[in-house]
Amino acid sequence: MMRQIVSEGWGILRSRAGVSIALALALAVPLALGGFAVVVERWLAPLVATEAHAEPVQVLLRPDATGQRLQKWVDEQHSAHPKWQIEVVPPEKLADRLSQWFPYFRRIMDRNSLEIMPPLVEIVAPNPSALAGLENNPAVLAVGPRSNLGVLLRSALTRVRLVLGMTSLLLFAAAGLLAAVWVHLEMYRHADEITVMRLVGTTEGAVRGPFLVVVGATGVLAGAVSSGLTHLLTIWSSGVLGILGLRPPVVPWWLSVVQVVAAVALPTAAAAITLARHATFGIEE
Amino acid sequence: MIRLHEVHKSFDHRNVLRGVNIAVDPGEFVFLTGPSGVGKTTFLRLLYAAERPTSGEVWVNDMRVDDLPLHKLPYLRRTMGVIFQDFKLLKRKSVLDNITFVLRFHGIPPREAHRRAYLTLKRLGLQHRQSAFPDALSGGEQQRVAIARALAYQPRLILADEPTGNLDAELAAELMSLLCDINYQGATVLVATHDHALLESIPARTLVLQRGVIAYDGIWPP
Repeated sequence: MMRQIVSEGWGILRSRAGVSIALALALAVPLALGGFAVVVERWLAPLVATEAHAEPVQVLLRPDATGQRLQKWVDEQHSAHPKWQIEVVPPEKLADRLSQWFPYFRRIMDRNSLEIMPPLVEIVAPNPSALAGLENNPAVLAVGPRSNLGVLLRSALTRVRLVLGMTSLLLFAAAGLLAAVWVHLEMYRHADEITVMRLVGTTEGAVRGPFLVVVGATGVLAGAVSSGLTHLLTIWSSGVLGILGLRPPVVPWWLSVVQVVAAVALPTAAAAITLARHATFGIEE
Repeated sequence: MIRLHEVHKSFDHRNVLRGVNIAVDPGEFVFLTGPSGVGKTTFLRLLYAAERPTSGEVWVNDMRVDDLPLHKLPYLRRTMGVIFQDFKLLKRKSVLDNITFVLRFHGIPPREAHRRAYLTLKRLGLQHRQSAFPDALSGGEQQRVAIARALAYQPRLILADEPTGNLDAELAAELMSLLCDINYQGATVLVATHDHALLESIPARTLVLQRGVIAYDGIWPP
């Protein structure tokens, strides 16, 4: 019985090779995009993890805030914001820090005594944007940039994931719908065979089986094509990143398995639902 | 084998069957006759559950057909071979495949299915047409393929709807002889026909359907 179901399914597949290939491609494209999104995310993940550490925000104080005044200011901030980690930048590191803002500072500091320079503190806060309030503090001259590269990257990555994920999902759903419509049309095309199969005592499983075989085989093809496309996209992006001197992305071994399983499962489920809704045993033949 | 009790069937308020009561025992050869449009095909369709009766009970091969759950229909239909008036051959399959197709879905292995299909075709004189497609066959040949398909899996009950409608007298006689052979081997045969010459060719029990009821039940001619 199983051999006959497979044989009937193979017959349908052969007679509709063009449509099957088109359907496989329609399924493969969103899966390949989704797969590539996974590859990109895995490539970016270590970078985001490194940069996601809270970065210190630099706060430049008035030049007269030295010695005890400086210590008092630090103590006041500690008591007002117990979660802030406040560190006074030692004079020997001051040139490095300040030259990040104003490169000519290094020259000035090399020629003059460090004592003429205003004190600099670095504050690590759970919420760096809260440091904006310090701009109104009378002892503060300026507050450095509070945005964090990690946060920016994460935000960008979230958007990329969202767009790629939504696009893949929409295309995948459309492909599933396409599979269901295709099965529906094939059922009409084979209506005479289905009628005869039923009249001669074929079970529901055997009536539906060939269509599921066709859709399953198309899904395997779609999975293979999507895996190939993901690899091609990864190779292409590796080339581009290589030119920039960045490490190449890698396709995880399990991604192809997931793609094939998804490519088989979605259209088969769509076909099964279509068959259940439209190919039930009618009394009227 | 077959039992109908107070069976009524109506379509859009037109009563086709009005209280039919009959019983056919295993191994019987029965003709069902009556004028065209009297409901012979509907009668047969009730037996293979392509129609439900409006009321009454239909029993076939110890299964109550009128309220048979849908998932049990295949098992009822496997106990009978139906020769359809419109043949119902698969146009995309060859003559041999039209028969093996059914046998394979009955769980018969490929080689055995081919052997049985070929032997059945040979019995009906169609072995030389085994590779042809239905559209390339004459009406008579198509009818014989439909008959071969119904006989190939050796069912206990044969239902034939105008089986000689497209056959000349000689082939019709051969077919009736074949159905008699099958009946002699133990199968129950129910043939729906309006051909009086056919009825007179074989002295068998005949049911005459008229105005929705069995007007005569006995050997034909009365």
